[in-house]
Amino acid sequence: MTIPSAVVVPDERASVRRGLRARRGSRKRPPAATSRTAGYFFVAFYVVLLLALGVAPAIYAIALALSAPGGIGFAHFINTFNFFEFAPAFEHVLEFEGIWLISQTIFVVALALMVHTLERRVSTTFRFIFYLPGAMAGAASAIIWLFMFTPSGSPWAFILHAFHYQVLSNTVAPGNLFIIFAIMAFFTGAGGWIVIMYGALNNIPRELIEAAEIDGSNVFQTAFRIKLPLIRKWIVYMLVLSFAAGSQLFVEPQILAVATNGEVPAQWSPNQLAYYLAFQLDRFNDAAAVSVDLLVVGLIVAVILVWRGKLFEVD
Amino acid sequence: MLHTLSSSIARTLRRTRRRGRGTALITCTALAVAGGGVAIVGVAAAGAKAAAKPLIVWIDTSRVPYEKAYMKANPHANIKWVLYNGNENGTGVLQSKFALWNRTGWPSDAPDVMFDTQNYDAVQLGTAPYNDLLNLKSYVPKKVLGGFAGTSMSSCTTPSGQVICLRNDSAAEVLWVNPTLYSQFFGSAPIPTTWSAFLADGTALNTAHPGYLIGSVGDGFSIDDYFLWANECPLDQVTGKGTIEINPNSANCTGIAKAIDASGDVGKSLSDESIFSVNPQKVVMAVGALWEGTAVFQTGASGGVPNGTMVAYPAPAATNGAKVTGDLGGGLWLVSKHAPDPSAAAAFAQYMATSPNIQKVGVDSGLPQYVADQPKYVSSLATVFGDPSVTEASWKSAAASVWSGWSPVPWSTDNVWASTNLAAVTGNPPATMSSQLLPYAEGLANQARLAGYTVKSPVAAVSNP
Repeated sequence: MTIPSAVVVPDERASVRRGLRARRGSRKRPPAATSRTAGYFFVAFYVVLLLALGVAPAIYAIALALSAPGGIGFAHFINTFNFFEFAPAFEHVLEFEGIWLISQTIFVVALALMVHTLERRVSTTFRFIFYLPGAMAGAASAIIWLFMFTPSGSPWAFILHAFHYQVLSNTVAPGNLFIIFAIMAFFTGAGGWIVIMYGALNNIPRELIEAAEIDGSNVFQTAFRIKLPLIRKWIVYMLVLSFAAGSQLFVEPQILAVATNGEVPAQWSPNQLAYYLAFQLDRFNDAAAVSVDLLVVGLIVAVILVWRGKLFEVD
Repeated sequence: MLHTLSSSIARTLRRTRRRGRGTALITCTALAVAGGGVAIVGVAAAGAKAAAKPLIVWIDTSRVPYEKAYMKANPHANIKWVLYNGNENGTGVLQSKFALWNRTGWPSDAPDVMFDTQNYDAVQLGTAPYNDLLNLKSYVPKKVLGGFAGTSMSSCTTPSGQVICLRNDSAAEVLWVNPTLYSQFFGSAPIPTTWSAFLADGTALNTAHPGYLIGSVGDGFSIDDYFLWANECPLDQVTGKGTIEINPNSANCTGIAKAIDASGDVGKSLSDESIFSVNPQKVVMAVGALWEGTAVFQTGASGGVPNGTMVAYPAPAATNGAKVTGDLGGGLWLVSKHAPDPSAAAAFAQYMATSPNIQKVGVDSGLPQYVADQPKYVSSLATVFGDPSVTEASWKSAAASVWSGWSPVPWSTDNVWASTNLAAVTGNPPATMSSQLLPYAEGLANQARLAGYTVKSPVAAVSNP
């Protein structure tokens, strides 16, 4: 669940460039042809990597998943769909994403808006503090949280005791897992997104906010009526990426499964189920079918969000 | 003007410094990666004949003394020892490597011989779709194969009769008793020989001496290995190739569950915490594997019990009267079917599992499963445990009376208990054992079906998903 640190939405990039150009003022622009060649050159690197590490494995997975005894068929999809573990795995991830995406969106946007109203130096400190938990991503965060959730060792033991949790097996009870993973994901990812949202807020022309203030808009009105609509695309962008990352949840449950000697099942999330099928039961075709299911779900949600959020439209 | 200049210099300097730091970071990462590589690859190796391909042996950290003992006895052996995690707790390292290699081809540095801490692994890795283990029947003499205690080789035998591993140490269960505490609380009363007497002692402790324990329910293995397996409860019985029988309604399951419920010991004298986390000086007695005698009670260590304290008695008899016990841990020697020199690999595995140079106190951490090595092993433990003759007799009988109806399968029954039932039985108040049998059986049946087994059960909820 890593958050790309330098992400730019296409049309936002255009506005950034416009802003830079405006600031540069009269400086001479480089010839268009050169910049275009350089652009292709840089994109080429990415395209090669995308084909080798993104598209090719996806095609391989689809080929594996569709290969059936008699040629091409959906046998592996039907087979995996009928596993008892299949539906619960998707339910788990859906519950996890529900809690995580809603809380992340609310807190990230609210905190970014708040930080943006602070003085520059203070806001830098706050952004740094928010970002800190994100430094421990994936495996490291799982280990830290394991410690936090152990009633006998946690600095927050009194909270756990309030829930009548005496031993780790009480905390990581099956019904609590999606909340536990949501908490982990929130603290790992939120800080990074706050920094990105802050960047987006900084893109809003100063004159626009000043104009609003002159017209009598107070801090809240400026935040909700002026700033929020202008960073809407960034919020959609965060949702697209977070949904994809969340639906592929793997590291955290997998590490907790090992650390709790199996109390967190090894097939808790769909990605874990795919891993288990491939690498514990040597059934790569079934594993590929589950992976393709995940790919399809991720694509559908991304298309809906991009389309409803008008992500690629230039206004 | 001056201001602009100085600030631009400062900016340049800062940029340079940052770049320097970046380079340093990259160097550090590269070094760390290289270091990691060395740690994995660079294991002691290569004897006199450097040209010949060494035998590649994978062991876990607890087996490092074996390596030392072997190299001391055979200083010129051409063996490459590689450390891995021993496949512990269902981490499935071997399963994932083999699955990959079966698709991509076996590399030349694939292991020839492996130590595996999971008793149920061999049958999975030795049967379809894996089929990666060597059938030792044609490499190891019949006399040696017949020399392992009781039914212990059943976890090394596939349904079609291939022998695909050798047992290392026995992990049969006994009743570990601290006689000092026992006589303090129960006077001269005899040591319990039935589950009801054992659990009744726990009930007495609950009120009279709270805090003292007769065991724990806090691990994935506490109930299924200590109580259900040892009571002949048929929840893991492979009856034919790819067929498993799971019957939570058997009297062997419900009997022991009802006895635990009636005692009211769960969460009290049967602690919620892992048996490895409780204070060993508060354990009056506990059912546990042979190796737990030193591991759980930390015999001789600070915070543990003094040397010569713990005495092993036979585990309580099953509620149906059978004198059987369960099994937890131990270990297996596996030989790869893809080994370039199978007879050398098989001979090596045989040596490790049976040689008195290896299967002795100070090298091996548990009672050798190979019967011929047992007397010497047990006699050298006289100072560690109390009442050596009782302990010795209990060990030997336990090693030979493990109930073979709990079959090796490609999933961890302990992990199923942990993910399905552990939270409920360690809850506040704890769920009854009787209420946990059906969900546990359903969990096991689901894992069985996931692994391609046909589940047979008189209980509809178990046989039909």
